[in-house]
Amino acid sequence: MSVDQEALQGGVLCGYAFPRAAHVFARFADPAAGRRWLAGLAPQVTSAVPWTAGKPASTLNVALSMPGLRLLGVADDGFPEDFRDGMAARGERLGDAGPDHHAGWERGLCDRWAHAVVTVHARDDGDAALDAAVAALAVPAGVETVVEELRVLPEGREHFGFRDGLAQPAIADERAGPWQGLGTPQPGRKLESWEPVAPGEFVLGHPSEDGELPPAPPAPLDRESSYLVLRKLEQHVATWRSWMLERAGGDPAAAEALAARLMGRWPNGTPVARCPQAPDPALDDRALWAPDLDEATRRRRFALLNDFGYAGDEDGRRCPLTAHIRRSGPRDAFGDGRRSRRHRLVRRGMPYGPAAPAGRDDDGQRRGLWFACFQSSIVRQFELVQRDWLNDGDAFGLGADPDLVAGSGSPEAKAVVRDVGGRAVRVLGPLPRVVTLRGGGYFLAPSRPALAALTG
Amino acid sequence: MTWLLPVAGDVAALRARIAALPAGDASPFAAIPGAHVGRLVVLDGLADPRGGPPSGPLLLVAVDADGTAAGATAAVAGRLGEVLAHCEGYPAAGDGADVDRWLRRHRVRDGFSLRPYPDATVEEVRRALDVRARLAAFAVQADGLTPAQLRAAFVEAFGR
Amino acid sequence: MGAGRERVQPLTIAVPIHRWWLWWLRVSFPLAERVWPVNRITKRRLLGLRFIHFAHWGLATRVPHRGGRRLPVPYVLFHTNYNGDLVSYVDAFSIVVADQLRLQLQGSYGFPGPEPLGPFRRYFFEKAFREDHFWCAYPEASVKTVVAGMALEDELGRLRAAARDGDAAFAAGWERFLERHAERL
Repeated sequence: MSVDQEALQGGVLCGYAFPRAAHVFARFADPAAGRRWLAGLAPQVTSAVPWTAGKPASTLNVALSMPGLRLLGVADDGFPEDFRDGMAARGERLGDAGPDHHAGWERGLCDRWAHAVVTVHARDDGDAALDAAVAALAVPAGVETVVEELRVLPEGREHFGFRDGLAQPAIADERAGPWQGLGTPQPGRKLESWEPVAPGEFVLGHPSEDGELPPAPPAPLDRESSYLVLRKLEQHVATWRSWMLERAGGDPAAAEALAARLMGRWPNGTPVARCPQAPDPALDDRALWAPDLDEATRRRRFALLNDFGYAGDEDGRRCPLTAHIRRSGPRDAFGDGRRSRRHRLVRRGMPYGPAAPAGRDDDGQRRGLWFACFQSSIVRQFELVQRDWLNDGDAFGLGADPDLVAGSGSPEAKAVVRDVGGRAVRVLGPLPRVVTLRGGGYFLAPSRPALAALTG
Repeated sequence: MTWLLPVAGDVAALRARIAALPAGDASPFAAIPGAHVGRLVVLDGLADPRGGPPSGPLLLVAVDADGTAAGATAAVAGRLGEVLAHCEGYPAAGDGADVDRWLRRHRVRDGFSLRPYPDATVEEVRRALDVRARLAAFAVQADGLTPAQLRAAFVEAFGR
Repeated sequence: MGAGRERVQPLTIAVPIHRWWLWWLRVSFPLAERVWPVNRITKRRLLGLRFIHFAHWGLATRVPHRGGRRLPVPYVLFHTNYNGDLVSYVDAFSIVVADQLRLQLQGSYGFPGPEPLGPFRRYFFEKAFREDHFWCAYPEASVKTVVAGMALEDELGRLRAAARDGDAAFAAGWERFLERHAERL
């Protein structure tokens, strides 16, 4: 059974690849105000139907928090505990403590405050296009909003300088996929034969990898809906750069190698597991999109960005066990890719804030990544990855060490890296805090018919 | 070691007794010499898949401890008497040997078992954890030290 | 989050089995437990999972076990201590030791087979009991840290010996140690 692309919201199974976006966090003074506004937006919500006549100028998508659903008259029954609680209440479980604690989050950027988050994407890079898309929301009296603007950085990189969002699950759906991306590495077969992931891992109402329908709330929210997790991750770029350079003895090339090992990719996206010593220049953005490159070669090169695993590198000599991408997407690191297949995320994160200027000095600007991911079970997917793989290292034999990039930090945390700065092996610590959580929430992106029914 | 004991009388009273046991270092299992882990599980009833009434209630007692089975049995008898007293046939008036005999009758032997560190005592496990933590901390401290500094720091941390 | 976290979790299961299956388990359990190389083959993959501290399988047929009343059907009593996510534990069994699960549970009532994972997980959890009291001597430990620590303990002796041979010898010994064991730290 294929996903109903008319009903499913766009951006869930296939990204828009637009350069600008905004998350508009909205709080309703009363149910009528919220219902009226959303009813007006509902017909404009972008579906998952492929664009045949070119990309539109902008897109619009809506997701609701549990408080928002309650306000619209939806009962808690049938919703999983994680979603009912919301991200702030799950902070202890997630390890969102200290500077990450919700008490310090920015106003409005929380599923306790926000009843809905409306996300618009703009096709054109200029401010005018995004401003127009946000203005078109026509926020009425009785709806308070907080607007967060996002902007893709050159070559699809995030603020630490690494190409981001490369590994996405390939979906086993005749219309929604598979496309460039990853399924599950199959035991005993070549890596090239990834098995696409069941759509029910991301969309309610479809069989999951277990061959069963994931638990879902009552109709009409039980089909073509998807849980959305948002996290505003402020990146401390100056701290990142200073620490890398200092630990590399002031050698910029060694600093890049060190950062690559801790990330698991070189800045251009080359997987360290594939090329531990240096990035593959054929994977530079410029080389990949060279006009004289034939399509077959381009496809092969794109495959190099993702067609790799960790089997055979169980002790992390090629790619460190603590590398961020190894921890957030272990592939076959547990010996069999099927052991991590139920913890996949469709990631739709986008940077915010200006690109950091060259150098190590802090320019005082705030910047980071608005992490976003879709799934059919928050506890099994996002929460397991965040809690058991990123904030705790035991699954990888790393004891309690959190992930440098997305973990909650610990004064005892360390990282083992090889071949950096002329040294065979180094044990580095304590790891600095390079990311701070500034807000976040759990939302449900309902199907378009469900949204219409809720607001009608 | 595992024991399966029929509960006598009120299961709620047994549950209340177990709930009153202190946790952590004050748990009665902590007083069993060489104990790694211990558990008490009240089985309200073992379901009969053929539709008959469930068997039970039963109390499952399990402990993994260093040393001999006889030693563990005696230790369980000595430390968990107030819990075991809620089970059928518990020789309340008997001496230690009676309780030992009663427990032995209820023991369910392992058919198959798994232990990734089969011969390690509790002390050895704790020492291994401590060594790992100290060596990890030292390795972080050691990054960038000269050979002389490195050796001096090691000797200070671990002795010769 | 990781530091100080209680990692050792208990799980207790009782699986009813057909009486004819009891005889197979009475033969196969001792084989798998004690007879080389059957025990080696059987345990290698389970130990390779590296998140099981202890696991015990026993057969309950009577209460009291010796000379007591016969239970209407026999049961496999399974109790274990593990690290990490329980669902991942059960799924790992389905994926990594599927054939062993069949050899052990094929004759149990309602066994759906190790895959697909959903029905097996339900079958498994339906038979689980909540622990009323659980205690562990080293609750913060994981199997991986214990096993790594034991390997490192042997190395510590070598490092101490190298420290007696001067700065250069110790530095070289330390580098060798890191080369071989850094990922265990």
